[in-house]
Amino acid sequence: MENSEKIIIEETICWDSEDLFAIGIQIRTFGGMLHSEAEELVQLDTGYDGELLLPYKLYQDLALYQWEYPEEYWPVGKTVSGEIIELILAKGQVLIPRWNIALEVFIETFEGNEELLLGRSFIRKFKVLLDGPGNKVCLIDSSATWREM
Amino acid sequence: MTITTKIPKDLEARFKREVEQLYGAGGTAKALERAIELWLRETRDEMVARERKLNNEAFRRLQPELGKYQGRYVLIAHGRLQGVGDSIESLRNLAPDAHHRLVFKAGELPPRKRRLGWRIRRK
Repeated sequence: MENSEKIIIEETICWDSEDLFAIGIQIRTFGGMLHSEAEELVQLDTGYDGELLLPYKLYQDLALYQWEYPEEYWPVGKTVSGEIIELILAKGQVLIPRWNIALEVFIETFEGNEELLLGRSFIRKFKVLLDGPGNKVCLIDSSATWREM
Repeated sequence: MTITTKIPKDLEARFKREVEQLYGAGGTAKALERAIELWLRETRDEMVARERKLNNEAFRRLQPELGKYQGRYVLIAHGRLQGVGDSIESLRNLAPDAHHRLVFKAGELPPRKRRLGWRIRRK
């Protein structure tokens, strides 16, 4: 990633998570559009192997079709039940406000999707602690390359 | 905004009946507001779809010559190459009036297959 810098983060940050395992993020386009005003808890889903899956309506509201990849690069997704779905692909940023960092990510969606998920390719950038008994999710640090917000 | 216009009588009667049922008295403004929002969204979607098709056709046409931009970001809008930059942000202000733009890193090959997990299904 050009213009990026590696930041060593020693502080561990945690989010309360009684039911779902989720972390607090914002989503920003390269045009500067932001979702949402403050951090929003987004579920970590180890069943999805992409970086960020957006609800179709949010993809449109953020005008991510202004940052879209050519159709030749759109991935084909397969659900657990074997359903095949063509995904739309764009690039944007995930912000972790409490760490003051922004990560460039591939964003995927499809018409009718209502789920907002962070997948395995995103999770793999960090050390993540899923603390069941403590009812929390923590990001410990990462070897990922990112830039300051 | 104040607009005075005439609409067909049967349409007016159907509209009044549905508004009354859904929102009660005074619901006309609410219904019109929703209608305008829907029209704007539909129009935007049509424009995006039209330009998406045009831009993807341009991408296929330009593909043989994109190798020379390897590792750089390319922007296609209005059916033609608009610019090439070293970062995605550097292309931000190109073709600002376009409804749809293709922006990608030349030579980058994103994964073509995705496992969507148990939460995802087509609605």
